Amino acid sequence: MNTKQLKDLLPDNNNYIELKVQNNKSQSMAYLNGSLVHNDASSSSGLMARSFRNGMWGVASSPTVNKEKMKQVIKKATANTDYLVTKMDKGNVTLPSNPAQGDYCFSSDKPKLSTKAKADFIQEIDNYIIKKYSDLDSRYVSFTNLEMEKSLVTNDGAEFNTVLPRSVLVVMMTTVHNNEPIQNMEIFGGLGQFEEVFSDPKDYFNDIDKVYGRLMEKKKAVFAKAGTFDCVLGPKLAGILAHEAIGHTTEADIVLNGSIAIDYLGKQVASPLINLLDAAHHYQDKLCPIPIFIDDEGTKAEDCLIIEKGILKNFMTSKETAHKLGKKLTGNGRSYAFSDEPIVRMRNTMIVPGNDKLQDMISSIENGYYLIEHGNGQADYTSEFMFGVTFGYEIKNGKIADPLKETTISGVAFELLKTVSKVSDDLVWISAGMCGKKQPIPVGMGGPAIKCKVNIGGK
Amino acid sequence: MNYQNILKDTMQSLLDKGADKVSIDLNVTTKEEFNVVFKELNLLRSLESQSLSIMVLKENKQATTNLNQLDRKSIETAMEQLMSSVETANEDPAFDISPFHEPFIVEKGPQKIDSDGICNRLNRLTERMKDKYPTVHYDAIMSYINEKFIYMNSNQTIFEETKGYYEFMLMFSAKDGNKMSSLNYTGFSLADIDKDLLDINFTEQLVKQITEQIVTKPIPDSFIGDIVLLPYITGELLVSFINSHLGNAGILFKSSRFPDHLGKKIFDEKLTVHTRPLDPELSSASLVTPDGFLAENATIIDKGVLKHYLISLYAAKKTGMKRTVGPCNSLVIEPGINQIDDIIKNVKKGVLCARLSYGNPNANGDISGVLKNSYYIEDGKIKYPISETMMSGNIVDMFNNIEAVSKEYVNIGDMKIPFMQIKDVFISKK
Repeated sequence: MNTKQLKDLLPDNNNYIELKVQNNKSQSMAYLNGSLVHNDASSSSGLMARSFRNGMWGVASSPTVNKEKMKQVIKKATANTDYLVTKMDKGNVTLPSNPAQGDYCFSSDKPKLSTKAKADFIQEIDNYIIKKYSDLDSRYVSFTNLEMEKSLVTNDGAEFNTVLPRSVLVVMMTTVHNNEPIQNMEIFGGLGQFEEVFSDPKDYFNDIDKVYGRLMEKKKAVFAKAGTFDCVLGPKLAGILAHEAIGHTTEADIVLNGSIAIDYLGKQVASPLINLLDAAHHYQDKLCPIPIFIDDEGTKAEDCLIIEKGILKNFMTSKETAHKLGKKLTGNGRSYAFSDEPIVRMRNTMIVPGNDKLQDMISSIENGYYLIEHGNGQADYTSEFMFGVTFGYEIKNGKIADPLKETTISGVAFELLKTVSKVSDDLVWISAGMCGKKQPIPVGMGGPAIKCKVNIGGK
Repeated sequence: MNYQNILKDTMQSLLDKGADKVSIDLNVTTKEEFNVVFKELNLLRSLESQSLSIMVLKENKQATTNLNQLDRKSIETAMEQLMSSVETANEDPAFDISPFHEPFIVEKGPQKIDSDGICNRLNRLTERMKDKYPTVHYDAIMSYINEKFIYMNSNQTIFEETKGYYEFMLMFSAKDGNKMSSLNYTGFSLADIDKDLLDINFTEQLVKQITEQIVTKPIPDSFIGDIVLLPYITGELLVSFINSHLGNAGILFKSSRFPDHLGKKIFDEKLTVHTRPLDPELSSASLVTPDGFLAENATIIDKGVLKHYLISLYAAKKTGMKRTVGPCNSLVIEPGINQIDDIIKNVKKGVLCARLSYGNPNANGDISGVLKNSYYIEDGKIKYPISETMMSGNIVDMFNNIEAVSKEYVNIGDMKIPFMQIKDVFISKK
């Protein structure tokens, strides 16, 4: 079903209505020690209707995609709204509206590669690893593609089609040292189908050498000392800090649920060197990892400058949360599966680069740490965060010293950002991020390196 | 729609197209999900979903697909792609399907939703929260789920399981003026809705605690002491350990700390862990394992001794190990003999941990994290809620340093978990 057919089905009633048809397609292959242990192509498609009246939402969805089923789903969504209104009538509510129209498809124009060609690509990488690094105890190479194709119309005038593909390559190595397993991994890829993102396996050989090099370094890793230290957070850690610890606290639904950010609006929450942005689709004329031009409520997606020169300025909103907070629509309503309703989600959250050089930042620290790779991360409504650090170095007298065993860092992000004294002039995106908040959703996270004071949970 | 016929036809078509072996499963789910948002009933979702998963083996090569369309054309397209994919795979004699088993059909739990009952439970929740805990911000979701799962393979095995159950999730924090607590959450599955939600699994205690956690302070100093884990944390850590060290990942990736330890003592003798898929009190437990066997009750860790690896048929054949219980879930940690209040009285210096924000333990089991929604304990008394406090240790050492396991436990629908007191954990202040 296309948007024209969907528009014809929009009912003539007083409810606000969204109709969506979506297909999530994925392909994944994984080689474990040279054996193809995972070889999957999947899809999940269906339609959804969402209805709103008197402060109540009704949603209905079905995997069956045809005109008749859509009519049933619209009826059911409206009935769900009506049922809730019988339980509690919140009175008339008019949602804000900034509808947009357009087609935004990021499919590749290149000829489609066969499954065999993709398997050969991954195998060539795997062959390189085993030929060059035969001392590994285990190796894992995988490829995953997720492609989200959506068409949506709303009865306030929005209409769009989008195809958003992402292709990711994962390389993981394991070695056993002193009877203890040690692992290191790296993720490559980003926006686009396989044909667009990956061309020649040899392009990754240098990066694979680095994965192995760091694995060997981890054999002689030392524990970080517990306590607060001057640190350089590498761009990936700055990116996850921006997303997890600041981004989530400034999502308008979290704000309405008591996030600390509501108390900080208009106040200094970070060093004046910090600008923090949730970019909709471009940053400095370059496409972001997850470009969103129109969100899943049909709202025109606009950049949301959350922190400007250290001052908290804006929240990311959906229609209902913008209404409740009296804020402008930013176009952050996003949904994952065909059956999911849009909720406030980030798009491409980043700390804006500054003017410092990474080497100067490291040289300026007498006794501290350079933290590079992150594991999982969590944050709270208070902006208190915890991130796993899977690779980093000690800094001694301004120079890189021993590599670190895996550790965690923690703190209160709004406090940590006040200690930022340097911001590097480069930008690195994490293009394979998946955020979990009721539903999963692909996100971009990015940043420069930042120098700040960090609490480390070492020994 | 006759689902078994769709599966049988699909399987036969794949065998006709040249597959040597086929396994196929179908999950058809309906869900009615009631959402309380910003303290008020806000959203009702009616969801239908279906998922057809197919695995084919040809000349010891494997390919899989998953689709949610059951019309003839969609299945035909998926089968064509699958048979093309399997040609590109490499041979591995470890790929296989489960052997023949007598047909097994079971239905459990409520098969019809009680919508008004759900609204009444949620209204009761919002009333009690408004009356007793006005400073608490929360979202709640209560759903009725009905799942039909059919597994079939070319060894003539057919399993069909239909289960209905309710599911509840609550996320909450407290705020008074500009002071606020951390976020906490809880959730569980239920076979019926005859009890107030706050009265199940210590939920009201967690909500009451969040109101105390608006004001926190750091521990006096860093120390090595006891940590009393609330059941949810114990469950999380145990599942994380089992997945990483006793399941497929640890064995196939050779990252397990205990790769050859069957019959050996790996943990404190106070730890006994069962898998109990047949326990009627576990409302959302699955009776079929992911590798196509009927799940069975067994003791995985008996007084600290490892009795079973939780590996699939593939991992077993790949490594030469024996598949026993398979990649099962429905874990039940054997409760102890002490009341939780008595366990706390026995702590000289330690923390009561209601939530742990931690990085995934590394391959060696090292773990560190921030103690959230937690309390400082001194001389057997809970003193105050704490802030900016971390724990670090090793998950293997922790399960070897169990001081006590509580008599009380929570039943979250697919697990039963008690409180656990662990000694000699490093607790550090900022």
